[in-house]
Amino acid sequence: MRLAPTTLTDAELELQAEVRHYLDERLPPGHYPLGLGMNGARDPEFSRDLGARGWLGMSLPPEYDGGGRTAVERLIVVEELLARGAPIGHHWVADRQSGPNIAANGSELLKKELLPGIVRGELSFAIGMSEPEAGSDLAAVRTRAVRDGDTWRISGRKIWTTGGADATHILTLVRTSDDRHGGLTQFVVDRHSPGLTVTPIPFIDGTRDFCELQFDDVVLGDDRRLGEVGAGWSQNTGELALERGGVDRWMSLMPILVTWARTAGPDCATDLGGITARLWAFRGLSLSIARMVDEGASPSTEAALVKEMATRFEQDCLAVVLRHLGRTPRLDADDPYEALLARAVLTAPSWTIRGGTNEILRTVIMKGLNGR
Amino acid sequence: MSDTAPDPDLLALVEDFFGTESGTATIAAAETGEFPTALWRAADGIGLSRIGLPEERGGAGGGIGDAVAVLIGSGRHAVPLPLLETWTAGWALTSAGRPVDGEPTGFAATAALRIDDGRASGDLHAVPWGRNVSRLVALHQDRVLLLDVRGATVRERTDLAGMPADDLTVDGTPAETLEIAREDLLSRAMLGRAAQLAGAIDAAAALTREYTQQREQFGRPIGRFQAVAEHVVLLAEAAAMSLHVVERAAMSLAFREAAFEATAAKLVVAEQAGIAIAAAHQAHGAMGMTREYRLQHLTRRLMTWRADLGDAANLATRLSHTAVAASSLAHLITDPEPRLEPAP
Repeated sequence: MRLAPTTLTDAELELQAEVRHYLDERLPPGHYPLGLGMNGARDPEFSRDLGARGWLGMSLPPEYDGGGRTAVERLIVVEELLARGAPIGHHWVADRQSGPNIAANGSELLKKELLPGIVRGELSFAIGMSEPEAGSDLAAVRTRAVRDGDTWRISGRKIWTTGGADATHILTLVRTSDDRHGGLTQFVVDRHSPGLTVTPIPFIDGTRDFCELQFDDVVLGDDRRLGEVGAGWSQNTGELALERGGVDRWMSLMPILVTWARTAGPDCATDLGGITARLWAFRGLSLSIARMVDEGASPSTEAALVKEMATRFEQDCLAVVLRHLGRTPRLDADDPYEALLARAVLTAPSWTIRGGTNEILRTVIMKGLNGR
Repeated sequence: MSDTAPDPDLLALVEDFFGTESGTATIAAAETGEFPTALWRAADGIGLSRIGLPEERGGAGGGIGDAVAVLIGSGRHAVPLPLLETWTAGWALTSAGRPVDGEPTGFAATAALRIDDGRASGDLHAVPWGRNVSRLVALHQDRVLLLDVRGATVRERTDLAGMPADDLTVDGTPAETLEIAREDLLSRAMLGRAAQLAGAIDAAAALTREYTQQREQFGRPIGRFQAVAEHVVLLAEAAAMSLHVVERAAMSLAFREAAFEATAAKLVVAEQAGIAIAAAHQAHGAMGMTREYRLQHLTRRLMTWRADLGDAANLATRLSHTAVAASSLAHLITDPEPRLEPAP
């Protein structure tokens, strides 16, 4: 396994400078809700502003209003957003995951209908994958879609869907036959479809972004189907594989680390230096993976490896910052960074769970190692 | 900016040569204190001791990426030769306009010397291969010195890997100042050591994966147990990250002085070395604890090298000054040309 080093071109550095300049003005410190990486606050207006600048759906095809740009260019934009704890919640899933999935697997109709809205930052997606009996064992999905002429009728229950209540669309994986892997199909569901009930599941930090989706005979046209019948499993694993190596896997704490570094005293030196070196290393790894994707490779084992390491690193960083704080941070602190740190304490265990638990990732890595 | 990946033919040559020539018996023999002269001559004969140094000064040509590839290979095969030291000293010599020859040359990162009228007296502590070199490059305060150590009093010592790490005392030996920046030499030495560490981590990862596939307990290969497989994954991660940061720092050093990258790479690799030592031994059980088995040649080198040229606290402190001084930590780690702040 070689994660070749790469550097940014002059054009890429110009993009970085442009994004930095814009965000410095658009998000003055203290005037936006701070978020923990991909769990940033929802701000549809901010998402539309990013869309207007061409910074959403960057790698989507131009014929659907996408930017036709590279994975590296998207990484540059994303890392600037996450470094500030920007309010990316409205567009995050669509930009990272659903848009590329629809572009790769969707019908012409779906692509024309959905991709321009994703690019503009108007549409907000949530992922309906997990079920009470299907977490890491995703192939155990039971929610079923039954064909009825030109329509499908979906019934079942999805849980742990982040952003389900506020999304405009749900991209869901459901069973269309009993074949364990070959019997799964993806659909795009309008959030306000009759028969779809979305109920928040209060999260450990008291937020209400986590949801349960109840499908009671939700009727969908066959044109809502994403990809071939039975192709859902491979589409879904492909969708997961490459997003795993992204900068979001080690940047959750970045606003806190940036603040901490500014004020760190001599007693923090060893820890701060160690964290600096590892941040630099992970940034190189994520950039390497993005470059490989742009070169047409499919570095799924590498991406799993980076996520497995990076998410543990994030948790290590949190422990270090807490040790130097020397007390329990308050969720209702006046200092927004302390409040953010308190949310990090509560939600950090999820970092090694979401998007594939580290235990599952280690299995993916072992398979990758043995397959070579 | 282009990838400075080494020539594939060189990689194949390095792998083939060290794989054939640096066997367990050769390494064990070197531990008895006898310099492997034949191995050195063979390595020098194909240019491995002078790679990455300019041909017009006696080097074998090629870039820093090639030198790093040789050093990664030397770590992977636990090669009992002063390749890092000779390359580091050779870079100092050729950068200062001096020639290199085919002889082993020493490098001493710390020296407590008095310099009078071009002559040095004092102690050089734990000099790798000190007994085997006639001259060495030493860091002395903010200067880089070339010392003649033929007349040095040598107190023979060994490092944890059983390789020479001698205490030398010199008394009025000729000392010339090489007009190069101490920092630049240190960066190369750190990169070179990190490269050897990365190679040894990679080899420990491969050896452990192989072992856990073959060793059976409870009626199946132990690698099938998830608890054991976890060690194999940790090693693969350590190897992938270490090789990446070493190649990345080499790429930076090919174009400019890159003390930040060299320091960060060394720090990251040293930490991964600790993880790799623990995981490789745990997965091997008692087998890995014996001198008969190859793992110890790798892990004893990891144990020795990881604190070379600055231990974790020392390197991290330097990086922390840079982090505090940066406009933002996020900018620092995405900066295409980060600058290491001098220690205050």
